[in-house]
Amino acid sequence: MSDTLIFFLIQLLNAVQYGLLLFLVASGLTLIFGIMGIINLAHGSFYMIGAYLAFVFADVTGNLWLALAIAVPLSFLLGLLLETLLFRFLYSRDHLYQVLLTYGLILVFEELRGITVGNDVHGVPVPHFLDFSIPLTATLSYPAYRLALSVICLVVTALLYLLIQKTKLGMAIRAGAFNREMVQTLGIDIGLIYRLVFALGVALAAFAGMVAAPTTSVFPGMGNQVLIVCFVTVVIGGIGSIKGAFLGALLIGLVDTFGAVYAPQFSGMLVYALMAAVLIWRPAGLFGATAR
Amino acid sequence: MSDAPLIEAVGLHTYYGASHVLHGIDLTLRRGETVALLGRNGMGKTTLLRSLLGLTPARRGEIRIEGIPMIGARADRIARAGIAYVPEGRGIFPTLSVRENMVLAARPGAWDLDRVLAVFPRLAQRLNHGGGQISGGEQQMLAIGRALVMNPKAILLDEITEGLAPLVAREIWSIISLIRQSGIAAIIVDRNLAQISGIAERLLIMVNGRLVLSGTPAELKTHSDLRRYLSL
Repeated sequence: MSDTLIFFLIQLLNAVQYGLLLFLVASGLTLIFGIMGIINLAHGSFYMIGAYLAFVFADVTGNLWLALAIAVPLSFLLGLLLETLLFRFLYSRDHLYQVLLTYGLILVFEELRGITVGNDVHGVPVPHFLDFSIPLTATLSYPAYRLALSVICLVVTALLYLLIQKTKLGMAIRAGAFNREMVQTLGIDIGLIYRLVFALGVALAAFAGMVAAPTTSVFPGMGNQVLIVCFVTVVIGGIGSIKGAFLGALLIGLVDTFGAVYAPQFSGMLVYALMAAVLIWRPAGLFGATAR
Repeated sequence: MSDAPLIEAVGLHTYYGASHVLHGIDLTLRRGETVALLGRNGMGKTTLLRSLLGLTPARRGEIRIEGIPMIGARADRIARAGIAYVPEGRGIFPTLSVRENMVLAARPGAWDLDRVLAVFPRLAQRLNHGGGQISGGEQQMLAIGRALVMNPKAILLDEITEGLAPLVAREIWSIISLIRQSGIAAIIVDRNLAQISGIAERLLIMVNGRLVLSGTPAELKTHSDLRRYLSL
């Protein structure tokens, strides 16, 4: 195979890996908005919190996998706590209150991050057994961890699919997105469903931050960058649609990665151009509830 | 089993904001009893069902299920106490399959999925269709089937034959008779006085948020005010 083709394949792998990572963050955002009607500006912060938790626990334990085993349940608990103490009071309120609270949370999380781990940029080491590159040609190679990252994201995506499509909890989540009252009249505690969905969204975003940390480094404000792209993903896919978020994230991954390579002068705007094009074609997004 | 009525409401007052909709409703539903709730549009029939279910909580009054106070209880607790609901508009989840709509509601008991499908063979042919992809009559069967797999002690049915073709409506009524025979109590809101008189043991007539008449179909058949209250 020629170097050009290999280079193209490497970019394709990068695009898929970025898209899958983005999906993990965006899936929580779209679930939380689609089911609970909450606009969560703090969702990117959970990505950042995940990355910092990976940094701290990997530093303490010397093992990223062990760090994940500690930090993912912690993130889930954080989600449960936030929903119980703050978010559940917002369901019946105007979106303005949600925006105010979640923007406030961004500031609180950033401040806490500064106090606890400082404002430096940190690195998280790649696990030893994945710390090598796979040679593709004499001059091109691909890092094994990036490949593993895609596989990990695919596994989590498959598990999320099974949870939503094949379990009774998933049925209740999908039903709750459509008719909250009717779910209650079936004897299901919709408040508990909301709590679990919120915690799941937080854990997914944090998990994405954790596994991405060895490839991106860990730095202040990293959640805000992700948040904007996540909102674009959710809008492209259709608000509340997991399938849409998946497709939207992969499209963004492709456009962003190949844009940076083949049209670097426009790369900053290509993702937004994609969003505009999708919305002209389907105003409710690819799989939005009112999409034609 | 306690001797208390299955559902007992005393002095229910329900509001929508400042609008006072139910004015001191007293209602009793005994085990296995079928009661029809009749009245013109806007008289508060649906609000009464919703108040009993905890969906539109009463501001004053008492609701007891098998003697246990339920005023202020969440709708899911009332459902778990054995009260199922077939709402006007059916409340089918369109993004769930027919099977999933029922599996989500199912609780252990005599009514399982197979028994419901034996009663509604048309649903058996549509099990993997989306809830939003089946006909209105099939959706109504699904709504009733979904209530049955909850194995409830009572089902509250709101305008169940509304908008259905006469043949399908007849099928639904025969199923309601079957529910009655199986010992499940019911409160049925409907406008078809002739049809419902053949099924219900008691009729309750509602006017402007108050129960103004109550009696067996035979007792009320000749009542001078019945036709006026129902605008017949």
